[in-house]
Amino acid sequence: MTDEDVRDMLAERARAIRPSTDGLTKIEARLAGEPTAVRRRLPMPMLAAAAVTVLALVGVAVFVQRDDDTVVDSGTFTTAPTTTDTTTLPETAALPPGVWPFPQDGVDAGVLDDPVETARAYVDARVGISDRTTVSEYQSGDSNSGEVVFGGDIQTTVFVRRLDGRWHVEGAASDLVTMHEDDDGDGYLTAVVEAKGWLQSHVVLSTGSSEPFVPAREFDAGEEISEGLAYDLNTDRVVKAVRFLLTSGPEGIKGLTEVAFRPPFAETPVPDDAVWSEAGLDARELVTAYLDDRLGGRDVEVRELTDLGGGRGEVTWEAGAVRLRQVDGYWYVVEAIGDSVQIKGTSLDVGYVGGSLTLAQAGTVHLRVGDVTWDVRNDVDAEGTDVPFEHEVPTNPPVILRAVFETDTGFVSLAERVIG
Amino acid sequence: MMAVSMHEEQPERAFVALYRERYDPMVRLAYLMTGSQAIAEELVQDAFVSVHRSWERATNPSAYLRAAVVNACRSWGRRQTLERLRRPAPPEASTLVADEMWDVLQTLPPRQRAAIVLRFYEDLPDEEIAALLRCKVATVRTAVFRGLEKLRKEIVR
Repeated sequence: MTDEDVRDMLAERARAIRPSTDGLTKIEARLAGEPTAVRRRLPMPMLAAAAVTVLALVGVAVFVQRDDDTVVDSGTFTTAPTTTDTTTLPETAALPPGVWPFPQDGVDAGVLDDPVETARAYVDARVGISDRTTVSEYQSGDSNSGEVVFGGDIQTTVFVRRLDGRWHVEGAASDLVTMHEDDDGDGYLTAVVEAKGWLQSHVVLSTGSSEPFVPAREFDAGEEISEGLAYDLNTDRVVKAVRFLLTSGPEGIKGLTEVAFRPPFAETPVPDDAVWSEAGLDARELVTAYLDDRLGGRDVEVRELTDLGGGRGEVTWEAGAVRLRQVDGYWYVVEAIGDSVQIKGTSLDVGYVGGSLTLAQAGTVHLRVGDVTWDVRNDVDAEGTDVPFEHEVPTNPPVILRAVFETDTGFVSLAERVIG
Repeated sequence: MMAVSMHEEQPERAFVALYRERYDPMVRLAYLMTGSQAIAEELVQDAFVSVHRSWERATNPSAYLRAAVVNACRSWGRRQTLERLRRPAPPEASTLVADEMWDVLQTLPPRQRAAIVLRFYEDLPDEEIAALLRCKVATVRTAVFRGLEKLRKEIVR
């Protein structure tokens, strides 16, 4: 493989990209701070009623507890289900969402109200901020996360995220020590020491203990550390933060890199109210993937997460909203509400499901429970049309009803929820 | 017409001209650095917003834009690395597809990948790459060397 091969490959890949033609419109919308209007087809009272139904079904579950007025235990999650008899919420483990603060870290409550103060407090706790340390402004990544860059005698970028109105540190990355997973992604990690210096490393557990990761010593530039964590991903209900601190050069510049290992979501039971077994750390990405799955790859515009509080959120798209719930830091889809299709009521008997849909125009609804699919046709082109349905389906729980509505005018909308 | 007020007509025209000239090339650059067209477009749109907000201070908007795009892609890459580390990754189906070089490029650390794209796609000299990546020229050379080494090693394997 020659340099020219690399050059040709990149040029070929780049040539294949056809950028969208609405870039300027989106830039203008961002500058104006006005997201493009969501197409709402149902009258507002009906949407409000639907929202109440969702809240009654899924309840209010996850929130951050305060120990007292001054110290925040940012990692304690509890559940307080208010559900129907067909929906139960599992207990969730107490897992901090990032590398800092852990339950054992005493943090002034006010610090976590501000992303820069959160990052400063974290770096001060890890390294110690001096007069030579420079701190950037908060640089927003999305509506709930961003980064703060440290310079001077400390070289690191701190990634912060907001959950339930409080900030925490997801991790830190320094160019002096870079980390990446091994190819097999089985919990092993590789760190590359990019500059000669004294390297200290630790593994800190969210349960309170700490131990060296590799013995502290002088490293040469380019040396690699490849180690596996002593971590049973299937059973350990604990977060492990792996931290590297490299002191390098005559001026003693300190590079801080830290990342948290969490139990994989696959080992966390899927919540009973989830309509999709996939989970994700990024709500918008999860909803994009969910809609891609449900709508057969149809191109839709997905907006940013709206925090509903209590570990719940909503992401709207051009023809509806997707409700989410967070467990162990991962988002799950718990309901889809369509602008032009809603599941009004359902009844389950052994082997049968019945109920009615509320539709906003004429079209065909593709219904699904498990592997059973059937269509319901609506010829009434009027908002608020109730259309009954009944069908033989498997009724072993969870029974998830999905309704994909294709209107006669070419629009598509989606409703889905657990009904038993 | 711009939805936001740019008080003078001339800057508004200049911004739109910058968009017309540089949007597509920047999306392609960001795509090479992120591997996703959707992400690339978002990051480039963010960079244009950043340029717009700094319009009066930016002496060379085109260079400012490229720096903003490169920074945004690196930040995104670092965040992706963090998130991958936080959750062990599933087996990569992409390792089985034909374009091995592209697949291996996705696995490089953000700085190595950025250095390779800027060297071989943008044809930038090492000094300019170092300025964009905020590191020493020697570090750029090391990053390119290591990146190419991994590409060669993985493709031979």
